[in-house]
Amino acid sequence: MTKASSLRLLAASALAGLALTVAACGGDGDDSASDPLPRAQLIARANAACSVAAAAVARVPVASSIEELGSYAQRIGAIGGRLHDELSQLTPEQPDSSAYRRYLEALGRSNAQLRALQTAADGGDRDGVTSAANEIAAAQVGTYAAVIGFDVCAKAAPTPTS
Amino acid sequence: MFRRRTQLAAFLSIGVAAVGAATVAHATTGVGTGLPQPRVDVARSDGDPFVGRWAIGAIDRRAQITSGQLMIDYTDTERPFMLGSLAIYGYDEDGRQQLSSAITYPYTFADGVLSARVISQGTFERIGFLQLPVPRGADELNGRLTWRGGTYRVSFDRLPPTDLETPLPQARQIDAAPLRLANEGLGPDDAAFYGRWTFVPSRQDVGRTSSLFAPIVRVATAIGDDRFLADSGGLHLFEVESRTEPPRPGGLMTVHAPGSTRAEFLTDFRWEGPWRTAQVRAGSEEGPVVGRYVARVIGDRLVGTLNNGDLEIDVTFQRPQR
Repeated sequence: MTKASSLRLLAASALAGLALTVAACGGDGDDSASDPLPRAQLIARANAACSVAAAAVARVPVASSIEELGSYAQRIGAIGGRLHDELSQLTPEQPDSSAYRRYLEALGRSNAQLRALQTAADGGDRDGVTSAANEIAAAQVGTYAAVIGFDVCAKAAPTPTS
Repeated sequence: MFRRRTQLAAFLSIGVAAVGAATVAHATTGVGTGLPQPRVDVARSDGDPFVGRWAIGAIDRRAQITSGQLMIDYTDTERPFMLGSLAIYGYDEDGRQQLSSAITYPYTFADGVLSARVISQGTFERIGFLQLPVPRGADELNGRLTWRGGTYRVSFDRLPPTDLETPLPQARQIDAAPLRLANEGLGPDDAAFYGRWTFVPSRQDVGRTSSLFAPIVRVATAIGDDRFLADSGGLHLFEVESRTEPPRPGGLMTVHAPGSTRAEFLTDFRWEGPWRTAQVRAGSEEGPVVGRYVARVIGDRLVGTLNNGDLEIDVTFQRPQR
């Protein structure tokens, strides 16, 4: 291979790489409401987001008293909020849209109850803490995730032991 | 707090009036309860099996309760909710007979278990916790009552709703396990029990459908209800050697709950039939005795309870793989 042909090959590779990068960026931009995602892609994207969120939850030190619970709820709520925001950017294809909407609603309800839980914990209100925890459980966000096939999102995260 | 106490007093003055003679009709009939609406409703289909008048039929002897009555009903308020009254005859720490009146509120229902706090009529503080699994029959409830720092098995027998004159029956006193088992050791062959037993999580994981929120649901439930919910751990049973005495079994149990870990040393094992007991010691095998471990061998599992005085933890362990 001559030096000139090597340069041409390098240039072609660079252009191809650039094209892929642009395409990939375009792909991200196309996750807006205008481009519905096929089911497999939707599941992959949601599972990836849930995996990141679950890892973040695992890094948050677990509260061991009501005094620590408000801060714990706030940090978990921030993670849940980011997940909700990220997944809200995805648009499923029509057959999945209602199940996906229900999942997002459950996620939203859970996040709202986390704020209630934080308020209750900060006020030392154990009844309020229990009620908010019950409401989060009742939101069944994992169940709705399972319905649409988000197996990672459906899995109950283990409680960190340290 | 004062407002809340006033509300509770309004209910209690109506609801828990006459206990021993069972003269409470319907604690909530025709009156406002004055209590805040619970944030979680118990559906009629879940709650109806528990509605009625109940007498304590049997209770763990350690509770020092001689008789009692539980009444559960739905309120007649605009949005009905479950509310109960609990009256208990027993003995205080000095051996004096005592009547305690409480309400059971608010009720929740999850995983087939109806739960409620026990709130003192006298102080309006939370003094206990009641857990009642769905009954198998219509006339008996079996559950657990947390009372004065201990958690005890309790059963209730249904009382006729219209018979308000019958005195409460004396509760049968039951022992959680034989007080002193016949044999020393873990069993006929101690070595068969040695090894690292694995913790079996409770099937009642309150966070099982909550995805990444599962940890905070578990933690908040434990903190809100002031309970120790074990979620992992282990039991190591081994032979303790001594220069002066024959080898004997010893154990180290670790139990993790959200935010805390307990390590308990087990000594003085005894067995009889399926029962196993051990002393629970703090700090080391030579430490002070702080409680008792009682378990039954069921197949490949040790199903038991660790009681160290300030709390009681249900723990199940799976036999090590050979």
